[in-house]
Amino acid sequence: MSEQAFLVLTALAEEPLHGYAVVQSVESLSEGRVVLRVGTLYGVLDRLVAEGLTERDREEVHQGRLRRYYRLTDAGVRALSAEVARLSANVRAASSVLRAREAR
Amino acid sequence: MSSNLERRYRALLRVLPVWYRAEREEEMVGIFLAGRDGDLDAEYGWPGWGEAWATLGLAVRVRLRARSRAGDVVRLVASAGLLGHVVSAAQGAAAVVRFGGVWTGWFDALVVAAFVGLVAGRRVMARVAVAVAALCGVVVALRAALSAGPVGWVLVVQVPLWVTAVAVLLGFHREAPPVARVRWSVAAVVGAVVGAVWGFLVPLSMAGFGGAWLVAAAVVVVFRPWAGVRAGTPVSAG
Repeated sequence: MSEQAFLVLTALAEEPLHGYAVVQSVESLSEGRVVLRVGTLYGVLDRLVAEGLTERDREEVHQGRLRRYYRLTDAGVRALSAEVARLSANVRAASSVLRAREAR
Repeated sequence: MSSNLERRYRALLRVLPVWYRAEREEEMVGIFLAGRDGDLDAEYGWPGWGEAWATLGLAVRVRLRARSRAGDVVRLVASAGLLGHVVSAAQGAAAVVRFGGVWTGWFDALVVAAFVGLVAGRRVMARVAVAVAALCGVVVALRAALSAGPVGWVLVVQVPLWVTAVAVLLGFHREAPPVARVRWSVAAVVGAVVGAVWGFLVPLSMAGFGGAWLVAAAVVVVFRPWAGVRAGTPVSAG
């Protein structure tokens, strides 16, 4: 799973969000490191929707502009949990190696 | 009334297919404008290179998506083009063994690596290898042009590579379906054997070079590797 997809899934894990809120949330989650362009966001969203990890929630009109909300599916929750477990295992392994190195 | 910035962004979105814009344009415009600020920006601002690049990438992925005719044709050109270069590489190597001459092993290694990468689902490896080969081809063509060499013959060799490289780079994007591994592998082995026998028996010439492409076309038609594509599963990014 790409970092962008991981961050978008994480952003949607809390509550359904519209596109601009996803962009802001991803920027916040990554502490400003990942700033999604609109074209990039839709590439990621299209892929996540096609894989059944996210789906459309509802539509609203805000200041005359369409806002479409997206939410995580059950499969999306499972995929995110699996990715978190994988990354956590990697972090534990790396931490262990670093601790052993420092102890030498 | 829409601002100049909005009009410029909508113009950029025209690279996307009509059906995609009908579904997404208003939503995308809303997100884009929400991230921009100020009257000056609205009047004089442009979407920017980053947004343009991201939109172009999205357009390629949408237009050349899995199960689209354009996408399938581009991926067939890419795969068949690489297979043709594999046949040509086998032909050239056999000719050098039999008749001597200069063996461009590095070039053959690049195109074979690109083909293997494609068949093995190593998209990045395939894209990098074919791009490097194509760039080397540009250098060869430029050197021939600058030294008043045989540019025409150089182009006969290089243009198929450039077409193949462009097709690989555009067609095998992140969401592209994988190629039919077994069919393309068997086709490549058969084509390479025929090419090697040809190169061993007949001294290499421009006609012989064209023969490699005839062999490649023949094995592609016989094995019909496009019929074995598993739709929907993207190639890995490895």
